[in-house]
Amino acid sequence: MAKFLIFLVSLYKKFLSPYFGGQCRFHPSCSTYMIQAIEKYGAFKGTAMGIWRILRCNPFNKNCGYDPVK
Amino acid sequence: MNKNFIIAMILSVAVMFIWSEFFAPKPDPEAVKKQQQEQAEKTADGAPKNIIIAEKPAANANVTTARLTADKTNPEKTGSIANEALELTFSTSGGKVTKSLITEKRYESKKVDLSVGLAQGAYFPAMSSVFGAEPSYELASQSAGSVTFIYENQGVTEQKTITLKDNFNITVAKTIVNNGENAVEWTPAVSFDSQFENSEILSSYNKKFKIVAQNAGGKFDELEDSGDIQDFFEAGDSVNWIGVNYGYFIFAVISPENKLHAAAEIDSKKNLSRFTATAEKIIVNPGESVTKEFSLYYGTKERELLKQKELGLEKTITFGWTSFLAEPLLLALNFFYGFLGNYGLAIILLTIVVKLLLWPLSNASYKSMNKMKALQPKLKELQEKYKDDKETLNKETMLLYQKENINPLGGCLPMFIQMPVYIALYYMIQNAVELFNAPFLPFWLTDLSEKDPFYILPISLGVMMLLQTKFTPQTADNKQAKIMMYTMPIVFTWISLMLPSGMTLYWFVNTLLGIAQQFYINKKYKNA
Repeated sequence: MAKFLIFLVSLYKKFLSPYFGGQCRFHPSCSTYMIQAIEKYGAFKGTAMGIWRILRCNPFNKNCGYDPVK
Repeated sequence: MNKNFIIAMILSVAVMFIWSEFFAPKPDPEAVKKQQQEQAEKTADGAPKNIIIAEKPAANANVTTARLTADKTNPEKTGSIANEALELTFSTSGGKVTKSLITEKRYESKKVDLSVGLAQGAYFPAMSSVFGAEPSYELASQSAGSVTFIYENQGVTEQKTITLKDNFNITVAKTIVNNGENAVEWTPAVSFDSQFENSEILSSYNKKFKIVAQNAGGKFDELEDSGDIQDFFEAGDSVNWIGVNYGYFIFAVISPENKLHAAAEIDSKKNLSRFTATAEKIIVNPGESVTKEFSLYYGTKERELLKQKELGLEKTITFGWTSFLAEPLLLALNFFYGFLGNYGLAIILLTIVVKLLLWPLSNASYKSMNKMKALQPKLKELQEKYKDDKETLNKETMLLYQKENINPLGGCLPMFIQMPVYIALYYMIQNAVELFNAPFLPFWLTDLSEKDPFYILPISLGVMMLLQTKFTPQTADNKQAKIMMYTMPIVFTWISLMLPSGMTLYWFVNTLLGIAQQFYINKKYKNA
C-alpha cells in the first residue's frame, strides 16, 4: 500500500509536476514531503500528513519555507 | 528506475485505461439482437413473464376460485392522452402505452420517448390481471388526460384506467367486478422490465441502470448491475417506493402508505432488469367489486419535481463522491440558465465565477512573484555559492524567502483546487437531466453531454494550453522538464477528444481566462 502510494506520487512528480508544479512554497516540496512522510509513518498517517501539507501550501500561509518531515 | 522507463509505464497505463474505457469491444450487436429475439419469443408464447399471475387457487383457502381465461379477443384500438409533460399513445391490446413522449416545454425539442427503455416484449404500465396476461380490452372511455379499458369474460369484468396527473405523475387503477358464480383471487401488482443496452436516452458515459427503493423507515437501497448473472433484492414488505433509475430518467411505483411489497432482479449479462411492486392478495367474492390504484412517476429526474413528493425520491440523483461540489454547481448552472437560456453560456459563466472566486488565491501568488523579482540578485548569489549542491541551494533559497516573508508562486493548493470542479462536472453531465442533450451552438455543439463531433474544442484546448505554458514563467531548468511541459496539453487534448464537450468547454474557457489573467498581471507589474 505504502509503496503503491509512493509510486503514485512519484508518477505525479515525474509526469504532472513539471507542467503545473514548481509552485511549492515549502522545502522539501509537497510531493517529496508526502513520499518521505509515507516512508517514515506509513500509508495512513503519511498520506494524511501529505494532504495537510498541501492544504497549508497556499498563498495566505505566512509560515512557509523549510519544513521537513519530523 | 530511470526516467524513460517511468514515462513508458505511465503512457502504457494511460493507453490501456483509455482503450478499455472507450475502445474495448462492445457486445456484438448481432448477439444482442438474438438475445432480444429469444426474449420476445419467450414472452410471445403466453403470458408476458413480467406479469404476476393470480390464477392459481390458494391451496389452503376455503374458497373456490374461478379459473379465468382471456379466450375472447377484441379488435385493437389506439389513441393518445396527454398533459403538459407527457403524451402517451395507447393501445387497447393489453391496455398498454406504446409511446411515452416527453412534451414538457424544456425537453420538448429532445423528443424523448421513455418507452425505449423497456425490454423487448415488455410494456408500460404492466399490471396484474385476473385473466392471466392482460387481455385485449375494449376502449370504455377516454378524456384528455385519462383512458379506461374494459374486458369482460365469464361474468367477470376488469377495468383498467390510466390517468395523467400533473407533470410526470400517473396513476394506473384496476377495478374487478365479479358477477360470476365463484370467487376471484387477485394480487394487484405493477411491474417494469427494462433493457437499456442500446438506449439513446442514456448518457454515453453512464450506461448503468439501478433498481432503487426506499422502505417505510426511510432507508434507501439500490441494486446495481453487480456482474452476477442474477441478483435478487428484497426491499421488504413495506416500501415507500421502488423504481428503476436510468440515468436522467426514472420510473417509480410510489406508495405513500407504505403498503407495497417490492422485489427486483438484474440480469447483467442480458442487461435486463425487472422489478415488481405487489399489494396484498384480494379475494373478490361473487357480487363484489374491488378497485386498486397505483401511483407512478415516469419522467425526468428533476430535483424539484422529485422533492415535491416528499418521499426522498430526489436521492436517486447522485453525483458520486463529488456531490458536495456538484450539487451547488448544478444549482449555480441552473440559476445562470434561468437568465441565459443556454447551458453552454451557463458553463462559460460558471467558469468565470469559479475563476473569480479563486482570484484572491492566484492574485496573491502573482504578487509574491513580483516581490521575488526584487530578490533576483540575492538569488544569483546563492546560486553561485551552491552551484554543485542542489539540495542545499533549494533549502537556502527557501530560507531566504522565509526571511523576506515572501512566497514564490501560489503553492500546491491552488492548482489542485480546480480539479474537483472539473470532475464534478463529469458526474453532473452524466446524471443531471438538465444537461441531457443540452445544445450550445447549432450545427457544432448541439449536445453538451456528448463529445465534440468535429474535435474542434479539444484541439483548440491543446493549442491554448501550449500557449499557456509559453506565457507562464518557467521554474524548471532542464531540457527533460521542458519536454514534459508538452505532455500535459497533449494528454488533455487526447482525453478531451472522448469527454463530453461541456467539460472541454469548461477547461477551454478556464485556460483562456488563465492566459488573460497572466497578461493582466504581467502588464500591471511591469508598469509598477
